[in-house]
Amino acid sequence: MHEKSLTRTAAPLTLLEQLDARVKIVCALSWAICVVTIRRTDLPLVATYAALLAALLVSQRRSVGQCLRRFATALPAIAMLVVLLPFFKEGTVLWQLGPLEVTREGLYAAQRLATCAALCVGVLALVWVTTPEAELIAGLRRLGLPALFVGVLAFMLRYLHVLRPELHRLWDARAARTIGRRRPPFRSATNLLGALALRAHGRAERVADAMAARGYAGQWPVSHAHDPPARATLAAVLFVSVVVLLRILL
Amino acid sequence: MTVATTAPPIKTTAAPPAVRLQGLTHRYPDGIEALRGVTLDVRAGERIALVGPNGAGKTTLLRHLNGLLQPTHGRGWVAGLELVPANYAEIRRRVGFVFQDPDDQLFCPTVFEDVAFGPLHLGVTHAEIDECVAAALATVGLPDFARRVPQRLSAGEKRLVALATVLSYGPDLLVFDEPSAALDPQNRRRLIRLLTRLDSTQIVATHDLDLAWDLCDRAILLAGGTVRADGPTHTVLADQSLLEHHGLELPLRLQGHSA
Ligand SMILES: Nc1ncnc2c1ncn2[C@@H]1O[C@H](COP(=O)(O)OP(=O)(O)OP(=O)(O)O)[C@@H](O)[C@H]1O
Ligand SMILES: [Mg+2]
Repeated sequence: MHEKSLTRTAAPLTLLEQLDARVKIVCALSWAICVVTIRRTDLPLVATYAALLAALLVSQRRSVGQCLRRFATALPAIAMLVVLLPFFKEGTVLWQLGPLEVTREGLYAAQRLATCAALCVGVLALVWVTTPEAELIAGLRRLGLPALFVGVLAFMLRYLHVLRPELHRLWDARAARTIGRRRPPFRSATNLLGALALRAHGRAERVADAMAARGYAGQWPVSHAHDPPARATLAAVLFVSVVVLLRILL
Repeated sequence: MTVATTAPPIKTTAAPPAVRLQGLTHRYPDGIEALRGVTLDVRAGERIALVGPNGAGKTTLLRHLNGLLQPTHGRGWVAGLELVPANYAEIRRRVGFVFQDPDDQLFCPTVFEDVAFGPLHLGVTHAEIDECVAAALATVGLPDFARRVPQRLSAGEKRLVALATVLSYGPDLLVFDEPSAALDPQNRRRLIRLLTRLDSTQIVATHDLDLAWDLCDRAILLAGGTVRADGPTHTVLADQSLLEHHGLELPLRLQGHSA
């Protein structure tokens, strides 16, 4: 049951791609815990963690670009917080811009936030890219996360693939009837979204029926808990020890 | 041609009919009466085609057989169990419903989980599930598909996997809504061969009268929510004036002969 997903390309799997999803999730979690305890002055630690992350990234060879793209999608949100933070934290005022004040504490907090967010999102991107969705979901479920949480995530990922083509079909149908006028007026765009929401709702009802028809009454079956292979567990223990040791030593 | 109404099924010694409907009526909340007094019996092992124009009430009828809709008036039994909420769990164990759109039926991250979903809910243990899934996938001719992801399957493969998701718990009655929609001729053939090989009772709602002709022994013509004809497929589907009266056409193979 654990042969690799056939949807992958034939190229040999990297170490990270071979690892059991649960192992990767646990590693990412320990990483995140160590990262959020970083203080602003722990520069050697930040440098080491960043180097470790970069090494992991480079080891991914063919999916480096994909990791970076996933990473980039989170950048705008992080950037906004980092830019706003200096204005909203009380403390020693450094510069005055009209009614706005930039504080030293604010700058420090922004710096720390940027570091933590970059390190955490980087690792998340790695896990996401190297783990097929199905394995990620099975991993979360086997780790004992609340069924509702994992269920919602699973449906989201599954039906994203159904709703995206549906949106395209709606879009094409509209374009066909407006003789391809390029920029849709605002109202037409909102109509389109409304139509998509209706379809999503209809889809949800039909899926709920399909689940009920096969005996679903509120409880998701947990698939059996295969233990991850010993090598994977060892790799995880090693990785977590290194990350924690670095945190203590540097 | 309509089957004569018989006494309620309660005190018979023989096996109960696979399905018995008596005066089944369904009114949707918005007032549309989709079924008006449907009465019919299905014997175990029969393969039945349910045909009729768009809006005839075929889907509505099928949904009653699995407890997805409740009769407004009239009564129904599946395998001797009355169609009432208290029996729905047991009824669903015995009825496999294959929906029109496989994307509704395949809602799990992998084919394995989808095929395992029914059995796991209906009492198969984790120890038996691997075997159960493998057997169902082998039956539909996709033995290596367990690890595949539903969104990356072709329409034909999705259809077959959807069938496997109900075969995996061995229902006595299989119910299909438009099984041949979106299938190419070869996959359509394959599906017909597959269904012919299964022993379970089958009810197939379809616009594909050629499929009905090849697959089913009996055809029920539904229109406006009532049964208009019920008899051997090769009689009902060869009755040109009856079909045309209800907006249907002869199966293509018969059109060839008459042309
Ligand atoms: N959820 C609903 N609410 C209200 N009316 C409905 C609903 N579903 C179906 N109907 C109506 O009930 C009638 C029967 O519909 P049904 O879907 O059973 O027909 P059908 O025979 O399956 O048609 P088709 O061949 O197009 O699939 C139609 O008039 C339809 O508009
Ligand atoms: Mg229908």
